[in-house]
Amino acid sequence: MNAFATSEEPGGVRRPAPRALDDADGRTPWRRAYDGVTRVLKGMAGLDAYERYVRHRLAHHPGEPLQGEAEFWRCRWDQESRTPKARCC
Amino acid sequence: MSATLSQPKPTEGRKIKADPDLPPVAVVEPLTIPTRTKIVYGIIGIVAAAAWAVIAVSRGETVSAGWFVLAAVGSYLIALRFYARLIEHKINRPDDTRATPAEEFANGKDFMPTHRVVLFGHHFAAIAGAGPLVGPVLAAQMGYLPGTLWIIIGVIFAGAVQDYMVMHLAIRRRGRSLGQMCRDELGPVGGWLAIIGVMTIMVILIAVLVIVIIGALAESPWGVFSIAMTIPIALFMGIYMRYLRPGKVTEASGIGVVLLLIAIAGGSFVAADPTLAAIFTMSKLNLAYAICLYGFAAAILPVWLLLAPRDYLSTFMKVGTIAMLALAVLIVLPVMRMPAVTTFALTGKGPAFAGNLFPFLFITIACGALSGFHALISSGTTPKMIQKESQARVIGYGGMLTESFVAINALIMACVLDPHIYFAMNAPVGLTGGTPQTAATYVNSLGLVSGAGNPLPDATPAVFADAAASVGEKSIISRTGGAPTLAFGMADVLDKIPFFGGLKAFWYHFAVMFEALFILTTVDAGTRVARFMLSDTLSNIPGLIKFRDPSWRPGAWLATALVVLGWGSIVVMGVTDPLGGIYVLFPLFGIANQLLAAIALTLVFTVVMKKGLFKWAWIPGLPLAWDLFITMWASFEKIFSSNPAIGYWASNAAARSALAAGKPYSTAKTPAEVEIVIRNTAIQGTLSILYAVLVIGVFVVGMWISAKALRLGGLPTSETKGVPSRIFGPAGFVATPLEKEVLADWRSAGKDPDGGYHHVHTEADHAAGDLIAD
Repeated sequence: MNAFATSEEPGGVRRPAPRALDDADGRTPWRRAYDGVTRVLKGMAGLDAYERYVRHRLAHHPGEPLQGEAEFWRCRWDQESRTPKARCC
Repeated sequence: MSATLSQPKPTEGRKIKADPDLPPVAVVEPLTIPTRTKIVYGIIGIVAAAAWAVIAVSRGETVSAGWFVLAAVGSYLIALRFYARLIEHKINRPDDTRATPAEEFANGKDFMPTHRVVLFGHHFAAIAGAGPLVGPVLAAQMGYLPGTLWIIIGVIFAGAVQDYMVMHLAIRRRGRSLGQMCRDELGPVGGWLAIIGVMTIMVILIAVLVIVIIGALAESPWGVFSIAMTIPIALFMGIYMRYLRPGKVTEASGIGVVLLLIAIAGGSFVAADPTLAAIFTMSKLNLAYAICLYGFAAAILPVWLLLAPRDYLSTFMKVGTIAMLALAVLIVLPVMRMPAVTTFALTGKGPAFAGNLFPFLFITIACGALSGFHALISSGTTPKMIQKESQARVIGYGGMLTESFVAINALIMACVLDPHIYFAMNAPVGLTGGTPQTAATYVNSLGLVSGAGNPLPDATPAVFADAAASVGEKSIISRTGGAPTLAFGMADVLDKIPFFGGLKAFWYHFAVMFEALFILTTVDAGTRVARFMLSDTLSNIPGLIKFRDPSWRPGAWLATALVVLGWGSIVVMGVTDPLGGIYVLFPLFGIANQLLAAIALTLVFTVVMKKGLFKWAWIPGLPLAWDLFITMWASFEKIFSSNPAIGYWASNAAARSALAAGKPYSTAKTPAEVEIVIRNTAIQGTLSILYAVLVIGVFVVGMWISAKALRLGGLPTSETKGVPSRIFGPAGFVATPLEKEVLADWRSAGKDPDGGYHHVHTEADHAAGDLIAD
């Protein structure tokens, strides 16, 4: 279901599955549309932050330790409370 | 690097490399427009022109809302393709070989290149709120034509220009905030004036939004129950994603949305049960106190417990409601029942807000046409997430066009209502009397006419009683503030869709709830932002340096209390105002927002002058001049007008003499009420003066620097030196043929065009070439 294979490693890191170049093959147009819509919706609300973080670390800091999902969100909320962002009227 | 774009070059497109070892990171599109594009835009232009012609000429009884959608969308597409492109080529000159702040400082957290479609959604969710829904509804009292013209022309030449240009400035300045950029470009005085302006304006914006939502929730047990339930739902979500299943944020949000829908539906049982209804029936004043307490609590509680979960919910509700709104209009294509222009546009005696079309329409509709608040979002958040400079056109300009479309839909919702109901809902209780009988007498005395100019048959009291019953409320009379009108309009239109019929009350409360939800999110976040600004300002006072430490609890609590006291006192003032809180305060809200826009446009104009682009300075100069002219005119009237219905000080003086003579004043009947009017008008008058002075200060500084730049042929700006980009992403939603070639180059080189920054299924999307395509 999820684009990312879930693996519970020590520290609770959820690693995204390696992206195959041809992973379009298995998906119907409906499936692609569904994936696109959920991706945009999650991105709008910022729910995809952890996935993005892991991708970034794997691509640019390979081999370095990763924060677990729970720890990542705790840090993120701490940061949000220190640097609040205005929402518009 | 930017020189490559500024030289008008060959008709053929080019690919540009920044790093010889990487595939191209930028393209220069061919100057010739493909024939297919020409044909498509030709058709769009003809359709939009035809729709405008119908709107402008048709004065029949049946003007379909469909024409407004066509005129708006057609104009937006043409503006995005041609006017935004002009700004891009002549002023912003994006340079895609230069890394954006998102790429340069990518940390996997706040700085992070984001897929353009996702970022478009994120940006839109951050800029769109209750503003574009409320202003157009109030402006409908002048008829549909003035509002439609200002929303569409305003967004194309002012609002979207501001958002786009501010975003570009911030991209070139490491994603700095508006206040910081003002300090860098306008010097310390201009910078400080701007920061104080931003802080005080934020307070009035929060206050007026709270008054809007109180108007929808007061005496409505259904509404109060469902919005109160968002607090335990958010607390549950917070505990779920921190302790029960740590980090499972998406799961928690899914559960939250389901619980929320149950809470809205459950409200009908609360409203039907006498005991429960009594518990959840609150007066305006009690609601005001409750929201102040809530706002204080929300701003000092940990973010994960209340603010973050509510923010996730609010985003989904926002998308859901805006989609429903647009679908309702497109499927039902309702007919406008408000005339093109009403007499209130000319007499200035409308019940929703006072004043003539010029200048007051232009401050009533702020969000949707031009909103200064957006400059805060365009500068602070989005530049830290954008992949490519050239994407700012679609995200900044295009995002604002989308908000304008929301505003058009809101205007349609107000105009398709029975005008009797519209005016009964939007006139203060001092005029309607609050009962169906008195309201019928009041609206029948307005001399309402149909679209073709024929007098409307008188409304019976039953019209208002039935309307209230149809949405599960006791009364819909004097539900001012725009939100209830929009909710009623939406419910009314959705009710006409066969499958949705019979759910009218649910849709009404769905719309009220969603507006309340994201107004409260704005309140929490705004209170926090203002608290940090206040602490920062206080820490500059000798001896108060401790305020700079954000973890110092007493300081944080004191600053929060001061901010809540600031907006809370305006809220209490508004809900107890005998003249009607929205009626007197909404103009102040609009003026504050438009003056913030004047600050942002002054910044943009000054930078354009500093860069020596004198020939194109009219692009930001035009909206700046218009915005400053119309807003200063409105401020001037609010301060100096001798008409007590418009001028705060004239109203103050008239109330004073009424009190001395022992007479009632306007809708203030008792001496105590007249005293309230005297106090409130003095506060409102003082705020009008404060805002005007702050903005004139910023403007004068900006013009002084611009004049210097003109004399010297340009001045250095605070633009930072960039680093070469190592990623690639198309500029628009759909990749151009040249961009597809570049993506193919990356693929054949076995590299990832966005350097591993993106998340799901990009390769698949390349092949699909659909909307989400890379």
